[in-house]
Amino acid sequence: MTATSAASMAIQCEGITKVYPHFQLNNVNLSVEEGSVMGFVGPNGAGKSTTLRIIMGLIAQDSGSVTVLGNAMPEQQIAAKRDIGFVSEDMRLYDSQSIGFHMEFIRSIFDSWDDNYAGQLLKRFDLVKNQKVKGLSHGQRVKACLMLVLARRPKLLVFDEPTTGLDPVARHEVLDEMISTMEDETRSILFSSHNTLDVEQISDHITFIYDGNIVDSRDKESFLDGWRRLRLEIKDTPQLFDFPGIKDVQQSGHLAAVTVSDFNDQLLRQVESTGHKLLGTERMTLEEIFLTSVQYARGVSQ
Amino acid sequence: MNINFILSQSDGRAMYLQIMEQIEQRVAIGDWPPGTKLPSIRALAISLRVSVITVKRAYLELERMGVIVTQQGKGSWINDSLDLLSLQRQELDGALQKTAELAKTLSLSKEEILLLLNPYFE
Amino acid sequence: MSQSIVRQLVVKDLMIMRNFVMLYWLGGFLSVAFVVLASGEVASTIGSILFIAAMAGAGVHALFQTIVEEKIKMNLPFIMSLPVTVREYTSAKLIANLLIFGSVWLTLSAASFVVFVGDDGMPVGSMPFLSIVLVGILAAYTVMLTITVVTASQGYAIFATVLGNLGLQALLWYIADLYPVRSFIGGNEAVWNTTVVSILCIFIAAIVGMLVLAVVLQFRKKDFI
Repeated sequence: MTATSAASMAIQCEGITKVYPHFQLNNVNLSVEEGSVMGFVGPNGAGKSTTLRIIMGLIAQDSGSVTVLGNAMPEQQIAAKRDIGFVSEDMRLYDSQSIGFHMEFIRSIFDSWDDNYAGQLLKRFDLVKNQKVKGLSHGQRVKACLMLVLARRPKLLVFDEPTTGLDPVARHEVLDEMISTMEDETRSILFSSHNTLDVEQISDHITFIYDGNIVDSRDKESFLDGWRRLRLEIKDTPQLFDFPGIKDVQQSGHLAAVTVSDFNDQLLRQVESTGHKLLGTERMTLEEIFLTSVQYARGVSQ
Repeated sequence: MNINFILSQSDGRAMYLQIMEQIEQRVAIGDWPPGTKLPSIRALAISLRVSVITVKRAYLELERMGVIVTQQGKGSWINDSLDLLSLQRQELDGALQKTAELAKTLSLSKEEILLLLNPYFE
Repeated sequence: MSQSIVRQLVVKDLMIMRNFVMLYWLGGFLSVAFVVLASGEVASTIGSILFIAAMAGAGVHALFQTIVEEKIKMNLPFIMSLPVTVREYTSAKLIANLLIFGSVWLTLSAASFVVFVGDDGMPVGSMPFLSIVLVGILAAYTVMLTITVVTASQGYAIFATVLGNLGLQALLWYIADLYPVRSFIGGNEAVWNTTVVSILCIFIAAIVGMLVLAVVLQFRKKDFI
């Protein structure tokens, strides 16, 4: 999957480092092409939220450069945030006020606010304008935050765990709205999620982060194509597995399941040349790919 | 143009393959005859609620196979000179060849293969 | 453009606080009315207590509601995702709080001088000390404001409130005991001697200093969180 060479980047992070007493982001590189969806996957504490906050200019990086919509962050964050819609899991609206209060507030700040679209979103998300925020369920609250962001049609959406904790119906509604923003090819989405199914479905590119380091970053099809589980029957000749990209080996008796991350025809020939019998290859789900990557990264760091 | 593809994430096969199959089926049935203009990659991605890159890949593969034709700025359409039958025949030949190879590695005879085929024809 | 953001943030805080602010204004006016209309030592003492309570209430409540609560109730990421930096945010908080407290303080202070009016009114000799009390309250408030804005922490805000209130009381007792002050309270002449004027100047310097400190400390911050 080749990218157009002149594609502009909505987000470009190079060599981001941030040091905290008990955690550190190391040399993080992350790029989101304009018009694409980037899924950001990692376990809790891996550095997803920190990275997203650095991208939003809320935290200043210790070193490295961040450019968002052409703006250097955090210096030009005001200009950048005019066109970014940010929703995070730890975000709350004002309890004592109504959804309508927040809509008025946002409208007073953003010229791009579309009242009609906001009304449509209220209906679609099944929200009541006059309802006070404190009476909303978790799912309704997330949808309200989303509506406030979507109604001003920002060029870039940055979502930290947008579907976490939502019931299936709400999740479906949120994903639907996220996808429909992609109708405009100048808009981009960066979202972090635990839900690998969602990431697998709507992402063009996927980045794995673990323990403050980027573990892997490819376009989705490359991930799903490149990772395979090879089922082998081990011959008694002690020819070890000597092909590149082995991420995991599960062996029981003469059967082995070898997980590789860079599967191609050449690899297939190399496998055949080891003398072991290839019983079959299986594609893996993003969840399995992610778990194996993390396991491998953990093993490597030890 | 009615885009009512049924796609499944729990289906073992890749999403882009499912999309290709749905398009090929419509061509085979005659719903999408040669010359039919296909929706833009982006439009199809949105209506199917999948990523653009997946649809892009499906279109690229279909183009490679000769099922569709894409022109920069004009979009994509079902190949006017499409011979779907011979394409499918090609695919069948490839599958048969693969089956024979596997049968040999598993030391299965032709008769045993025929037996194995039975359940699939029920 | 960023000026209007500050304005919208201020308006937002004022709107959220408006019910309580109205209650404090009401309480304040009632206390002044009480002092003016009722007679006797007890009445005026009760009145002054209510008066100070209204001012302190408005000030402290706003500090907690607009700054501490915003952090505790996780409203901060919502605000931070808007086109603002720490600077606009700080400016908006300072302005909103000074408006809320300041408006109550200003009107009640002005109203309080009513007590000197008329033959039945308080002896004018108490005017300098009353001025010291009022400006002292404002100074104590700016200390609380600065500590709250800079730390945005519930613990420190509570500490600042206690410090501000008790510290001011202690200070005022001390000042009331000073010979150049005490000797003229209750007298028939308003004496603005050096002591009184110096105390007022120190308070005003503290007010300005605190606000400048808040701005300097906040504007240096690079992380919102």
